[in-house]
Amino acid sequence: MVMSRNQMRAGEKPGVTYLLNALRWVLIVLVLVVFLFPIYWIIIGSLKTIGEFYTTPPTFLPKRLVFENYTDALSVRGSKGLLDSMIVSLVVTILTMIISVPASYSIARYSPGGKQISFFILSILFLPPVVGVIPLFFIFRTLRLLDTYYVLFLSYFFFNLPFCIWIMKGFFDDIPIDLEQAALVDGFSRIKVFFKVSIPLARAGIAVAGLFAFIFSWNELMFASIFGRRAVQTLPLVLQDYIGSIGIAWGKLCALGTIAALPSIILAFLMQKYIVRGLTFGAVKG
Amino acid sequence: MGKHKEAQETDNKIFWDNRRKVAFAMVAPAFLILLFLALGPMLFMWINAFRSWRLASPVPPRFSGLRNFLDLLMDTRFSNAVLNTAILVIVGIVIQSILGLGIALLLRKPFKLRSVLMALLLIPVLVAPVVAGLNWKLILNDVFGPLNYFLGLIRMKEPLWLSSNRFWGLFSILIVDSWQWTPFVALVLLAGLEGIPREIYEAADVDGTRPVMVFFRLTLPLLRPMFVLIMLLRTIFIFRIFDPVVILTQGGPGMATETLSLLMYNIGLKYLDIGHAMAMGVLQIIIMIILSNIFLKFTTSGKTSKRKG
Repeated sequence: MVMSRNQMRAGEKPGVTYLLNALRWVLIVLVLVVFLFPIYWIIIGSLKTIGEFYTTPPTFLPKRLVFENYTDALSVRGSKGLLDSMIVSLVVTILTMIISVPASYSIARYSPGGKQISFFILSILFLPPVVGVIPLFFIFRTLRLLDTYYVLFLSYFFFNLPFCIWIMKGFFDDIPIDLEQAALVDGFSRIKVFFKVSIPLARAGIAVAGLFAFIFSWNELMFASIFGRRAVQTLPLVLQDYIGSIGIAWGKLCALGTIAALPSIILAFLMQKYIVRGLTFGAVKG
Repeated sequence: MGKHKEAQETDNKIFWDNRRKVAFAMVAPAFLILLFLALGPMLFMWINAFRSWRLASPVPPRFSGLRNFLDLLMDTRFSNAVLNTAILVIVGIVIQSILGLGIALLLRKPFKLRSVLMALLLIPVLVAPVVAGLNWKLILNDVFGPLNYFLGLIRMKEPLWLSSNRFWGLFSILIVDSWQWTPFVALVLLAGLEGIPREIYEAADVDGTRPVMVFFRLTLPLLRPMFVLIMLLRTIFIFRIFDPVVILTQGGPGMATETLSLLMYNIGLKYLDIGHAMAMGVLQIIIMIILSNIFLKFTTSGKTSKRKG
């Protein structure tokens, strides 16, 4: 490990700094191992035969890797689940962002309607899902929307809109107002200020909100199981059905679970440079 | 007053009117959609919380006053679920904040693969809750699970995680929840750490303040808005916690680990007892509104101290 002088605190000996640094790396590796072991367990589970799930000691590395679980998982239902989840999550994420970015900005900047509107939006998150599900079921049935893509597009706003608006509000709050006023003085219209100044400055927050909107829609189970079912079957529904009455199809579950996690993981890696800065509510600089 | 001032006032008026219109137009779609989605459920909840209505019985719904609320408050199953949820919220937030702060401090100094490492740490929250829950059921299995195997290797007590009692059951749920959400908490806190202006530390360095004091007197107080955000979000999420509980313990053994969300699901969607489910919803909303107002009070006071930086 290379140490520069300014990394050392005044009064500390180089040896102590070196030790601390080594300890830091040991701890980082430990954190990674603890948090990623369960992920390893899912991936390795997808390559096991069913018998290897019931061995003592547990099978940490199967003798022969089996890939049938993946071909099984991507059968008709699995592929349909993947496609439906893709359609629902992409549309929901895009619509959520189109609606929530301006709303969040407006609340942060102008707080129209006073504190009540922003608290109303937050308070939607307090409603337990069961309270939402029962009346919405009757409403959607009357509108003949049950078991269509539209019902999921619409009902996922219930959670995504308030969550995204509240996450992004912090970022818009932190954009110095002088910056926007300067642009207004320069002859920008309000709309132009929003698109050319505010959105670029809050892009990290927008990226993180978008990532979570995608994850929530991708993994949502309760609404999907009550409003969907036959014509629309998202991945969580297919995954849930691996819990059969005669036992759980562990290998297939792990295989489809691994496949299901891939789009979000790719998205997270594409946005990695935003992630830290993305959550830096206070560090937006002009 | 001169003409100039008058003109400026008109300008201001146009400026303000225009601003209000734009502001309302920008919130309107979100507000209207949420109003459409929430109005039905809210009305339904407030009306039926005061009615006796079981979907499975032929008796039509009828007004029953405060009956549902009194039933709930007398019911030990309800107070049991309140207790379990309170334990999960309090212990969960404490564990995740301490661990998350530790991880954030570890990752504070930038290094080459730091952003890759964070993306890796976010994977637990991306995995479908069904898969995450079932996978943990495998890991915590007392015969075939790797966790008890490791504990056996180092000669530690091997608990029956999921089926012995309230303590181990809730502990298992907390393990899964913390596995999924601690990295998120760490990232929020890390973001907060990055947002602290460097000049503040330089000033402390000049003063010769000890690192421990810098941490407790400077860093922790400056992280307050982040802790408030974490408390708010984690409270909301733990009140909704569902998949891990259903998959790991189903509220058992007995009702030892039944949470409010699970009880509400059972009453509302399994027993189809709408009245009591909606009364529970009303109670939960009241609790959440009180808690969030307390949390948000802390943010505003926290923010002013942050803005000074």
